Amino acid sequence: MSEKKTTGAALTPRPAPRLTSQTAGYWKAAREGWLLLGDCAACGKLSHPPQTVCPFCWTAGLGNRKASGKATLNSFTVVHQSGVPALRERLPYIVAYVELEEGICLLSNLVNCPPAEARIGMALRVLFEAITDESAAVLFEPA
Amino acid sequence: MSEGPAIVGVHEHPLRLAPDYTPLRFIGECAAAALADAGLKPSDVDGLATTGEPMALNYIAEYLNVAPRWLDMTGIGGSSFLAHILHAADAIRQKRANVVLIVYGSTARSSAVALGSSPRPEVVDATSVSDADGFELPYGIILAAQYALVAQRHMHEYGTTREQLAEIAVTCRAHAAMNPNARYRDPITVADVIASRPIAEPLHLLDCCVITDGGGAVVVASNEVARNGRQKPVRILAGREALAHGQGGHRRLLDVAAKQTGPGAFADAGLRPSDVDLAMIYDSFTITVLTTLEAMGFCKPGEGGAFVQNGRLRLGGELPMNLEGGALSNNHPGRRGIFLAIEAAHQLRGNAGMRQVQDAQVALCHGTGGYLGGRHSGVTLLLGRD
Repeated sequence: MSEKKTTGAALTPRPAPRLTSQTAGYWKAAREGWLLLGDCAACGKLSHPPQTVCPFCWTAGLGNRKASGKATLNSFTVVHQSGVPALRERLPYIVAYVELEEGICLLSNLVNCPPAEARIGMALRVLFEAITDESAAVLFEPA
Repeated sequence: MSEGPAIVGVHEHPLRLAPDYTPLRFIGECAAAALADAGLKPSDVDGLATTGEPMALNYIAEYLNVAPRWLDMTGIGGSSFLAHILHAADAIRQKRANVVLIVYGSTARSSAVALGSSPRPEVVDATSVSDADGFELPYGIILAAQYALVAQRHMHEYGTTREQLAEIAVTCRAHAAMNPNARYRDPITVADVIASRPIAEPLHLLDCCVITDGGGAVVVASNEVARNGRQKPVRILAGREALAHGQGGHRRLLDVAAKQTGPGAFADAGLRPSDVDLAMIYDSFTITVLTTLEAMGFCKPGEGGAFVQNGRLRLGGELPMNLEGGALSNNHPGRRGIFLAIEAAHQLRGNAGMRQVQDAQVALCHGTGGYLGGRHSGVTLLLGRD
C-alpha cells in the first residue's frame, strides 16, 4: 500500500481534515500508507471513524488496527456539481460508500475508474493521496 | 381523539423571493397571520419553538415581545418543526404550556445558499461536535451525494428506475400548478426529469428540491383553546422521532430513520397506513419520498418504485401526497418540515381549495432532516380531524 498520486500534480490539494487528539493518528497513518480502524480490546468490535471511546461498549482507550485495504463498492454517485473548490477541479468525481473486507463501511472517492464502469459490488483496493505532511485522503480504485 | 392538543392556527408565507426580507421579518409576519388564523392574541402565547442558530429563540422572543414559559429549539434539520409540534402536544398535556407558537423564516434563496451542492458547513468552535466532518470534506461529500448514494443502492437492490423516481417530481409539479404561490408551476414530464442535468447521479436537477426564501408558523393549543377557536381543530394523534447515523461504520444505507418512527406512530394512534387520506412527505430529493413511503408501511420494502406510479400519489389517487407542490416545486428555504404540517392542517380543515382531498380525515406528515446516507433525523406525525 504505497502512497500513490491518483491525478495530475497540478490539482489543488483536497481540503485538509482538522487534526484533533482523536483523529491525528488516523490521518498520519494514512499519510504513511495505512488505513486504520478502531479496534476495541473490550468488546472486540471494529469501528470507524476514529474516536477514543468505543462506539459499541463505550470503553475508553479504543485501540486500532491496520485494515487490509480490500473492499467492495456498496454504493456510489457520480457528482457533477460541487461547492468544494478543490473537488470542483476533479468533476465529475465519484463519491463511494465502501465496505471493507473487515465489515466496516466508510465514505470515500472511487478513483482511476471511468464513471460508466463503476458497479456496486466491484472489488476495490485502497490508495492514498497526500493532502499535507500530516494527512492523506483515503481513496479506492478498482482492484 | 377529540380531547387532545390541536393545531389551531397556521400560515405559510406567500413569498418565494424576498431580497429585502430578513428571517425575523418572515417570522413576524407569519406569527401574526397564524395567530389571526387561530383567533388568538400575542399575550395568549406561552410557548415558543423554532430551529436555527444557537440562541435564535432568544432573538425571536424579543422580536415578538413574548414571555414564553415553555421553550423548544430542537435542531435536527428540516424535520425539526414536526418534533416541535410533537413536543408541544406533550407539554400542553402536562399543563406546562397552553398556546405554543412554532415559527420559521429563511432567506436562503436571496442569500444564494447552495444547499444541495455544499458539504455540511464547517462550523468549528470551542463547542463544535462536528469532528466527523474531516471524514467527508476531503472527498467532496456534498449534500445531494448523501441522498444519491441511497438512491443508487435502492436501484441496485430492488431494480428501482430513474423513471419511477422521476414520477415523484412530476406529481409534485402537477400539484404545484394548483398553488398560486408555488415556486414552479409549469407541468413537467418524466422525460424532463430524466433529461435535466445531472447533479449527483442518479439524481438530476429535477430530482432535487428548489431553493426559496420563505417562512411559516403553526399554533398548537390545548383542547380548551381549540374547541373555542376560529378553526376546526386539527388533532395531534401520535408521533415519533428518531435519528440514523453511521453506526460506527456499520450503517446499511437503506436503514433510514423513518423505519424507526413510522410503525410506532401508527401503533400509538391505533391506525394503519390504509387509514391515511393524504401524506405530506419531506421531498428534499425524490429518493427521500420513496424510502419514506416504504418505511411508513404504505408498501413493502423495495416496492416503492412501483407504488409511486399510475397516479397513486396524485390528487384523486389512493394516497395523494404533497398537495401544495412540496419541496420539489413549491418551496424549500432550507428546513421545510413546518410546511408539511401547514398543508396537512388546511386539508383536514377542508379549506385547501382546488387541491382539497375529498373528506380528508387522517394525514401523515414525515420529515427527514440532514443527510439520508449519513446522519439524519426522521419525525412522523399523524394528524386528524374531529
